[in-house]
Amino acid sequence: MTEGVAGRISRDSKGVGGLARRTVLNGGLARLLVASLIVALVGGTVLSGRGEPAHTPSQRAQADRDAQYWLDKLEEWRTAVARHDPGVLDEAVKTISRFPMSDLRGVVNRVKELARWVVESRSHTPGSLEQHWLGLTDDEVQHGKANRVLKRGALLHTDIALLSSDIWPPMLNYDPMVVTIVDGRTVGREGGTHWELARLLLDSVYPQPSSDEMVRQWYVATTAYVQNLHQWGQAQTNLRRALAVFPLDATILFLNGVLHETFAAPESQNALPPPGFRFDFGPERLELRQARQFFQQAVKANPGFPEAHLRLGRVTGLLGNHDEAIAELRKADAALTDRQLQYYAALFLGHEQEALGHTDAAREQFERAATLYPNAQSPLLALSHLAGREGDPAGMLPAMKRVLTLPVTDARREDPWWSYDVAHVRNAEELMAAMRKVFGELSR
Amino acid sequence: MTRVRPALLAISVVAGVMSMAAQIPTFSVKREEVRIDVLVTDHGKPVLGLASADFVVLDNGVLQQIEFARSEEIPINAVLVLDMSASVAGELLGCLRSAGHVLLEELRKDDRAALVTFSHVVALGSTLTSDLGQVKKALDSVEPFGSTSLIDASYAGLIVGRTDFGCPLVIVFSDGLDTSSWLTGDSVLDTAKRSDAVVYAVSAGRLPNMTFLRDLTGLTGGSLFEVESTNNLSAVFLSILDEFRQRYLVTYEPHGVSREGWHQLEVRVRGRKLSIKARPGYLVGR
Repeated sequence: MTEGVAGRISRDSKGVGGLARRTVLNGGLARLLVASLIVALVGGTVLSGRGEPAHTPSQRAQADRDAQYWLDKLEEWRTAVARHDPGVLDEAVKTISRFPMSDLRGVVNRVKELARWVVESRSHTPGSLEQHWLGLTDDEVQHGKANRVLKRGALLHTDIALLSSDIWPPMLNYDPMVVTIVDGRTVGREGGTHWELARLLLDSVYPQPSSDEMVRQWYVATTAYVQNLHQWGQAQTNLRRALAVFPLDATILFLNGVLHETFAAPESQNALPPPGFRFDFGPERLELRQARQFFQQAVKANPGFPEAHLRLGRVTGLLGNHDEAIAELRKADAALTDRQLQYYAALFLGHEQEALGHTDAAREQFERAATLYPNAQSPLLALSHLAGREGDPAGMLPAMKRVLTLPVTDARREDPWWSYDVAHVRNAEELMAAMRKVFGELSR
Repeated sequence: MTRVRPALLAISVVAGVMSMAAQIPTFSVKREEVRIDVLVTDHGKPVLGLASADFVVLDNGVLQQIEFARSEEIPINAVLVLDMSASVAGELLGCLRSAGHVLLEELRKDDRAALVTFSHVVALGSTLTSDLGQVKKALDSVEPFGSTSLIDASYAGLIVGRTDFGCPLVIVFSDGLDTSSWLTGDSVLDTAKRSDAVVYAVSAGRLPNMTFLRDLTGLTGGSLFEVESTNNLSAVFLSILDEFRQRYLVTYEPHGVSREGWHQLEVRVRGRKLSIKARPGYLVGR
């Protein structure tokens, strides 16, 4: 069984004139949000569920019931946000994860509207209903800041996304559809609603999310975390927003590069989408070009980023520019201190040298990789194959013998190549813990 | 099956001398020999009883002088390359072990077998040996885990199967896509072009992209079997062995062609319209 790649997918449909048109199924939540926003402020501060004026007594009674419903829901949500302990599957997580989709969206939209009101009504007298509904302090209201509630809310929804799968099946009508791939076949769908809700809340951070380091930390930590889980579809959705908010951030550019590098890999390219759908990524070379572009931007934003140079070198080589790839890989290699990353640099340099027909240089690099990880099979296979390419069939056997006499058990066969796709997020747990700590330190 | 290598006779003479008196200098005469495994069928049924004179072989368009063609009593070197990734656990593992046992039971006295297993780890269960009990024991002791290095393992199978004696038959079984290999499909296909092994592949479940196995089997003159149910895996393995035994081993010393590079092969049976399955060519040198 292979590890799953979850990709966002889109449906093929026929457009005008019978030409194939690609309709990306990613607009559902956004459209609903727009619709909610239109109706949310009707009636001033009364949070009515309907946008029609109440003329008759029965209509007014219904409006009152609706308003009370949303007030109750909002109160339930705010209490859960305040009580939630970061990273814990507590009652707060269970309560909010049982909310129907419509309630979740309704509450989050109202929270966003209330946060906007707080910002727009800065220096207003404390003691308003809005302040009460959000549980803000007088100081927060006077300075127009609802950030604490928005961020703690985002943390709660993040933890629901990560922790609640055991208590609540993923939503099947989530749009875009994110699927789980095992051995190249689609085996299920993933929910992404709570990720989206967390992002929506952070979008309202004052004065703007792009200037808030905590928001940036959230995007980096959560993307790293889902990439480490091979949830590439969730990572793609997350990164799309992250890039819009932080277009010049080296880490976010780098994470985008890795995403596209992964989409270019055979595991993604060879996977089979459900009938009638296709994955929301392009063919191999297109994905490689996108990856290269992101890595180039990442090293431009942060020239002292050897891991970005490493991956830039690799994808450049895969695109056939071997000399350029070697230059990048050497740049990375000179700066890398981590043994695992040095191993990749040696493997990739060997591969590029082999592509150029520099067999001695290639052999030297593969041997270096084998020295860094003596129980790794990849450099030995590379050495064996290299002998064959040199027209030395007898030379293929010695390296192969080394492979076949390596320890059989997985635990003793340490080959970092097997985890290359997530090597860049090997600190994902630490990043997530740090993010939770910072968000959790906000007052309740 | 195709290879350019020292002649069998020269090697056996040297080995014999060395066993008698290792200190005596020995000399071997190397000549190049190409060997092709050829399956001849007529409306799906194997055609037996053909002789060297019945075959026509063109190497890069140049007619070659057949030295040897026979279909019986050639020992088989069967290399089993079996997927032992996590998805094989359970019922499939039982079917796979059973199929392996059935195939090993059908091997003859002079045949040999080897076992390469793979998850992300490529491991040698058994080297080529005529002690088939050892191979069976190795097969029974492997437990599935991990992901899939199908391409790396296929390469290992080709190398393990390299031998100067007998016909290398590599049987690759997998139920998944490659996820962990370092080697690329193209690089292993390059090796296959230089190898004399015939590769048969069995894929359980309909996989989205079978290009690598299809190319590998096509380049070596083998076949790819896509099976929906693994309950009949034993029958599939046996049919592979049966088919392989029906093949002719055709050999010649190439002449009129340059040594290096790709050699396109064309094999026919003289004067008869029969179906031929053989590798399309072989590669020598860089």
